[in-house]
Amino acid sequence: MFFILKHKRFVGIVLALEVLAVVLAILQWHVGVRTDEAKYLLNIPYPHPPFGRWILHLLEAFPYQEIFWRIIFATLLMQAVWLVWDIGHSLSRTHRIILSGVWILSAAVLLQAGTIMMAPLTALHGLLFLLLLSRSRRLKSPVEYPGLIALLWLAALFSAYQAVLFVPLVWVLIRRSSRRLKSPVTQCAYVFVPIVLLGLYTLSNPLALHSMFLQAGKDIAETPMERLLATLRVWAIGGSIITSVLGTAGMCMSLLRRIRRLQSPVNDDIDAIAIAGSFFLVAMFTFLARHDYYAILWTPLFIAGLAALLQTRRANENGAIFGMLFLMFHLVFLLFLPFSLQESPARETMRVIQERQNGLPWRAGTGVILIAGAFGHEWQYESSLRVRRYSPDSDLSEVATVICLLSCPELASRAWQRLPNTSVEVWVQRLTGR
Amino acid sequence: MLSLILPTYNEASNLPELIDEIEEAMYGVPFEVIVVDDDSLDRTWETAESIGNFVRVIRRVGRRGLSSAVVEGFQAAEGDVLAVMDSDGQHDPCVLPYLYGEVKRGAAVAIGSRYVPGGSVEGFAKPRHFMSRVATILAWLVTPMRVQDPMSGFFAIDRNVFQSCASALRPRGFKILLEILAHLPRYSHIVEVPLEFRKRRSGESKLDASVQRAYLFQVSRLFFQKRQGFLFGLSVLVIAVVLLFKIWTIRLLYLDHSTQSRVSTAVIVASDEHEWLLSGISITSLTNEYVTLQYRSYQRGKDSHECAIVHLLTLEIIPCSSS
Repeated sequence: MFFILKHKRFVGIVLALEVLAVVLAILQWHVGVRTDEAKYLLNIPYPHPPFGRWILHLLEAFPYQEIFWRIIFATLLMQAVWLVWDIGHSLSRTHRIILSGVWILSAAVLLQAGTIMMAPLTALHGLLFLLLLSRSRRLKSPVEYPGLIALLWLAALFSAYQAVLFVPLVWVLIRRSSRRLKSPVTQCAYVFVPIVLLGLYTLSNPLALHSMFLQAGKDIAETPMERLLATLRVWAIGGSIITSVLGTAGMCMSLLRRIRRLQSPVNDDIDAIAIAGSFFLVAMFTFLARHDYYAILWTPLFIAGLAALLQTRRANENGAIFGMLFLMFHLVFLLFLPFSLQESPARETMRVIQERQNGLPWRAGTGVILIAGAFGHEWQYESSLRVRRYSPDSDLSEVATVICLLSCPELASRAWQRLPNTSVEVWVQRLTGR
Repeated sequence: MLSLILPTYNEASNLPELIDEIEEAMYGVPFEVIVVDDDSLDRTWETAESIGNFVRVIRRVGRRGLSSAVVEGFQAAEGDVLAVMDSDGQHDPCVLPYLYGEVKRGAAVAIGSRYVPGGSVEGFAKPRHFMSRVATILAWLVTPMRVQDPMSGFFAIDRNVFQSCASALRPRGFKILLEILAHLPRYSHIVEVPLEFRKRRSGESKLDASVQRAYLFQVSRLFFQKRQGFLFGLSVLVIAVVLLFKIWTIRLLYLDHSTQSRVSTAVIVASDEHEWLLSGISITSLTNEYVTLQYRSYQRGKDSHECAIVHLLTLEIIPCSSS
């Protein structure tokens, strides 16, 4: 931040990135809250550990909680380009601009910017660890703050389980603090005690454990080939395919160099092993849980790999043109990815219900909403009333509305009327005078 | 031998008189003077070069900063006792032999101190006195003992002590003594010698808001550097205690498979009975006979809580308030 303020010419870029962040946040806001986002905003205690969601839920009573955090998350992702700029410190200016442009324009970052998910947060943690590694290597100085890095590591793990995928990076960082932290036992404690605490947290929260088993059993019927293709899809999104290929190639090249220098590795090589280690872990994780939003976990690693590749290439007079074409490809790739701007059924339905209630002051803001069928937490978030599960035996005396995600023919009676123009069945009690 | 470092910037008018005073004060004591000049506009380095055989000059072009000048001077020095003082005449060279003597007698660091009995400050306005005291108290957060003048720019240090901490030093800003003190072992022998701090002879003071900011940043950095292990350990301890307590509360879930399945059934029964969402249910206590369930509605801004106790064998549900 001091660097940016000191060099005033960067202020324009900061503002432009901020405008982009706000636009992306508004696009996501228009779609509505997703079930995972609702879990974090409401601090529902699964699937992730509590730290990140606890911070998010502090503003629960704030009417603009959702858009506020969307803008914050989008800002963090967009302004993280300065971390990428610093990682590319030893590159030529043209290459540095390309590297930074890759971060902003990669499909994973653009699709995730403005969402309130833990995957982008974990990706930012990974980028930060990569930056610290790069700085300690560049400045040829040992790491001075292993304790603070360990605290950051603890915070990362207690925000999202997937942060554990970056343990190789943290391991090398802590080992590089050997002047401050001479004992190998203490170094191991800094890295592995937070992981042990994460295990304890999981044992203390049976709901988290239960949801892990559910997730694990979900796609058990998929064949390994189907899983592999889905993994490749997520890998491709992570770097808009072209950076995925080049980033992976850069990582492999660094690793081969390390293998050749078996007897006398230098810091660069040790970083290559750590980055390859995280790459392997992210690949395994994606193989097991193949959601598109995990693509962003790959992006920091692709940045590191691409930086390693660009270091071996000299910028020439055509570099700027190639760079622009390279970055434009990222935008073109985005057009091939499915993205819907349609309002979610939960938001649409709750808006219709609220509009109806607004015309009825004696009923507004009271009662309970029952929902029939399996529903996500976004229904809880979007509703201003308490949400409970519906069954045919439910006591409907205090109920304002029943939402049927499965059909509820038993409600077709004189006491209830179905609201028109909703994408799901919505039943409200008939008005019988005031 | 004493190696005295004089960091200079635009002190050409003060330097000749100062060197004379030093030569007089150090009569009979082997010493050398190293002038470290940051490429002064008034060509202080030229003045220094013309002075005498015992004066060496390091002219730093493109490098600025008092602390880094001192460290560079220490590293170029040949003496077994290293000292530094200001070049503006505010430090009395007569104190030098006392500092040298203390270090030769075993002190790790000997400080010319304005705030011990016998010391004084000439020409400090009250606000500056106050700021100085506040800065001293802040410095105690990071020094191994309560030195009365940790911001003194006039001190001597044993060469071996300096070399043991040199690689850990981050010489930025003005307060190199603070940086050194923060890196000394806890029970280091530090001596403070009274110093009458004089008014500046000529030239301008370099103490301004940016220096004060740099000082605050330095203290914060040293504070977190020293306490990062403690902060980590404390966090781990607190989290571990909370989690172990929670695990202890529900230990039967993991120790007894039949309890696990009964609790599972009890949760589903309570959920059906009260139309609770499963994700809102948590276990607050568990025995062989009963499980106490807490339900949160997770309604935005208007959370409600309900509680029920379920008998694990009969699946009878009773509200917590009637237990």
